[in-house]
Amino acid sequence: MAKKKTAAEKSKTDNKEIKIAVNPKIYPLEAIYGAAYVFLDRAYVFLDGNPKTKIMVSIKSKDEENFGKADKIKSEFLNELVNCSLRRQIAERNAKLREYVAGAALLGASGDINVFPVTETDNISPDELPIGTEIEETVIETETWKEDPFQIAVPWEEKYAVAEKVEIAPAVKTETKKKKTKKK
Amino acid sequence: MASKSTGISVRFNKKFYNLESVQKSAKQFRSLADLKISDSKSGIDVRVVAKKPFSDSLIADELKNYALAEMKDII
Repeated sequence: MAKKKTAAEKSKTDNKEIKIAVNPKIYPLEAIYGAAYVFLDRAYVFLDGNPKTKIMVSIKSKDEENFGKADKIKSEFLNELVNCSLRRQIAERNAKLREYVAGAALLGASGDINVFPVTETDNISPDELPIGTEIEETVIETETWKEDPFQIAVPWEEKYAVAEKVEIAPAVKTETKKKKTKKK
Repeated sequence: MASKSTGISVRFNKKFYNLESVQKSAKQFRSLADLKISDSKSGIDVRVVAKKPFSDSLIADELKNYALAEMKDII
């Protein structure tokens, strides 16, 4: 009985070189590039064939002693192929979301536009709200930080210069009093 | 007397490698080998004649890897 041909259909193995045939209808070319790239530090990888029908991947070991058995390398490559294909699929699926998040972050950093407006009900869970209350989408003005009630934005030189003057003043007075008493 | 190496030829499939990436990779090996690139409809041929003490096949294999890495960067 003939063996079933998988996506990576045939593989010719040699002591030095492995040849893997990959079906491009199952694994996209980008995934094959990605998987091949992972092996560049351990092996010499070369692509050939037809990108529409059959892609031949040749993997040749750099260091035969540490390279391992051919079957193991083949399995590792096929696993990496699945990994890269899945990564690509997820990247494609989330492309719009990523663009939106990056765009929102950039806009938010500019400070001109409040991308994610904070509402009064944001910090309160719906369970805590009294029954029957409707959640109103009122935007809180986030300008309060500009008021600086704790004087965080005041430079320390200014802040402590005043305090030092206040502290030093009574000490000077007591010294002058002592001098006067000595004279007497 | 040892005969001088005539070199090795590598054919890059145009569907997987582009001329720019092969040229860029070949530049990296100028000091290690004499390289001659010829572009044709069937593919990009690179003639590699390695300088001593390197072997032709070693340089050819490294060139393949560099070209693949370049292609990955492009993608």
